[in-house]
Amino acid sequence: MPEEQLIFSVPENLTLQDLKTWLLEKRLVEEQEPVEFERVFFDTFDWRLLNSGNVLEISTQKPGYLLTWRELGGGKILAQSSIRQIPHFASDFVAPGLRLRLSELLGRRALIPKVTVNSSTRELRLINSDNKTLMRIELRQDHAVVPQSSKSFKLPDAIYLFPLRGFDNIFEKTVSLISRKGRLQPIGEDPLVSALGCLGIDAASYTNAPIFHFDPKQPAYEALCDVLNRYRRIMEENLAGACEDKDPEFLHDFLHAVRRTQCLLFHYSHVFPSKTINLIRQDFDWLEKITAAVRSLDIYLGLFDEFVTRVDADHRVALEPLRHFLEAEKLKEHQTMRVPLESPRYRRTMNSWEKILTEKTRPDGMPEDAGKSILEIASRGIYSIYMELIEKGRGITGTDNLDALLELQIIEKRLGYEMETFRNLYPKQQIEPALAALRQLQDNLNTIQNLHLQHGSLLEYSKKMQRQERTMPVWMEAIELLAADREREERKMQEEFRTRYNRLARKKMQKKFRALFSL
Amino acid sequence: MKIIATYNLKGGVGKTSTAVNMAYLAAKDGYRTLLWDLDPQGAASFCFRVKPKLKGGVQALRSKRRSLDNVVKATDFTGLDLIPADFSFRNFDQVFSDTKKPSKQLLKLLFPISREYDLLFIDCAPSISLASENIFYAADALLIPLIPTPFSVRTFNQLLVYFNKAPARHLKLLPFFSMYDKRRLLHRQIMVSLPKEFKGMLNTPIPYSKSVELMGIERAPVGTFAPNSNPAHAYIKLWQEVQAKLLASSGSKGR
Repeated sequence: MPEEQLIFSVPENLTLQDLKTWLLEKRLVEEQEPVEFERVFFDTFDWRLLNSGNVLEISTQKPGYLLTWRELGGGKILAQSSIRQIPHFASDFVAPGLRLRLSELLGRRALIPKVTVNSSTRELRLINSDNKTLMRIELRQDHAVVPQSSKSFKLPDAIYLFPLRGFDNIFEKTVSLISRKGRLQPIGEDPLVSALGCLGIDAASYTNAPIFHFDPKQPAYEALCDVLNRYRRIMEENLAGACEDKDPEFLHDFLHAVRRTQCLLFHYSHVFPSKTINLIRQDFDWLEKITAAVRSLDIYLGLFDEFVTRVDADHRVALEPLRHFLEAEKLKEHQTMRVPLESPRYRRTMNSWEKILTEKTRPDGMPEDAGKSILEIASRGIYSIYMELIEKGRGITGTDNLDALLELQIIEKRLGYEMETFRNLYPKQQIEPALAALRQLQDNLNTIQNLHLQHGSLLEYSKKMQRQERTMPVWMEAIELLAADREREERKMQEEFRTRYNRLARKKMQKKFRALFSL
Repeated sequence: MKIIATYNLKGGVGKTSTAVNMAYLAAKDGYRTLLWDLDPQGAASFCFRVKPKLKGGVQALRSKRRSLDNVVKATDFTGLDLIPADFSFRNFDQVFSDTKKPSKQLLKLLFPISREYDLLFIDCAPSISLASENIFYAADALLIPLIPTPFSVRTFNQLLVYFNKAPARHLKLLPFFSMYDKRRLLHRQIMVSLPKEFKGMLNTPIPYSKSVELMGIERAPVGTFAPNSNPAHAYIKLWQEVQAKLLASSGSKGR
């Protein structure tokens, strides 16, 4: 199997014929028929492969597919296999070696198609007198496809050099020859990274949060429609995965998009016609309601291994019945959730939402703010939430007013959503410190809220277990110990609240927010 | 890494065709596959268009001047590599006979590459020798092609006697019928009687076919130039049987 491939940029005016002419000086060369194929880059929801310097691409190679697992940047090829079906998990791979090695990286996370690239390639093979291939050279023209649209972005043309094991000498000499003659430079950026950049996908973010670019003068209505349409697409991309429940992160991404939509519709209701907005908000409240229970159970099941470490050794085994209970509840709730998600109501909701967001002409009854610039509307919105957060946080010490903290967390979350969404409207060196300060408070308030919910939920679950099945005292004891641990941790976080809040609320930071957002 | 050797004392029974086609199908199924052409005739290397030449020959492997990972060559098929034959393999016995534990040298040689591949197929020379003992020690299974003739059955029985005297408990014997001609009464008779005597026979026979002979002209596995032929389909079924018997529940463990 090839061990390393090299990727070079294609200099202007360099043609395949040029390459062929240079190579023919020393070797026999066979030109293959031009081929067009689709290449799909796969990764987990949290980009485990990319973040560990790996790229997994699967290209159509009738009747099956060709999988290439390589290092980022055109380095070593770690595996190349023909496969008959596209895998969802590492465990789906037939070949045990590939299965084991990928499992180490992927764990139980599903492989999700992340980026599709349409490739046109022209290939040259260096051959010997026995017609044995000694190395391959491909000239590729790639277009990154925008999901669920007919649009695509052209990526930089590239030359791929594929060595064959055992023919290293020829490979090295050929690379040297064509680099010299063609003045080739290694490609600046892996094609996958280029594609992600074109599509506005932030691979460093675990939630696959889209990055938005705005023209500051763009009317607020259109800009918000673009944002909301992106979230709508994320929901549609994750719907099937959420219904099939192969990986909980599908539902996470789906619900995340729902919640961001709710937040924007709430805070920017003054930009949309009220009749439209009220109906849509009801629909999204419905979506949130039908999915939230399953998501909570996913979270608790995901945290379970950590839960087990929070009780003493004598009670760890006694927590296992809770795990089984949560798994059974999850199965039940998931079956319940699936029905409305696969219903005509859902489809009608999404179809009409898509129509609203993609219509070019503005509907009647538009409020005045719809036509104002997105910069003005976003800045006003962000500043007002920030001031609300500062005002409401002023009197809270942290340790004595839990309800107020939980209320503050809702405001903080809205502020975070909006600053993340609209960050590219502002100079990076100014908005990043503001976001960093907000994140400190966010971590604290989100953790308090999570721990509070966990404490309450665990006690609820324990009551439910007792109603549904025969339980043993030691199991209940273990759950109570865990719930108590959550409460203790919650109090610790509450003690840290004031320090974190002060960082965000200090005069210097208020001045920064005012300068940035107050127009 | 699982090691499967195609082996028979008799020559011309289909060892190379089996090794080449099985290795090709394994790679097609996504296994990282290596084929070692241990037959000095170099027919498997010829099929894959790789020159049957190892720099320094088997002596270089013995003296560790070369290691196996330096001599592997990629074939033109994704996921399939080859250790080419060399005429010096005929001297394997001479070269390794004075080593400590002479029947374990092959496994030692394989150590540097054992993690790189899921499967190793070995195309063996038709002999019983120190080289064969090394193969019996290293391999997980022997794929034994048998032409359904009395002489072939006799040779197979000789092999069974050998293993009765020198058992290799880890080694699965997987005989199967090769080059059968369904028009011949004798072939048909033996194909019924032998499985009754030896229960471990694989179910899939490979028919005699011009397509298999054409491998020497096309220099490629039969599935590439005659994918709809009877032997192409038969090899696929044979591979599936071998997979089920040897690979179904394993990680890439082997030896």
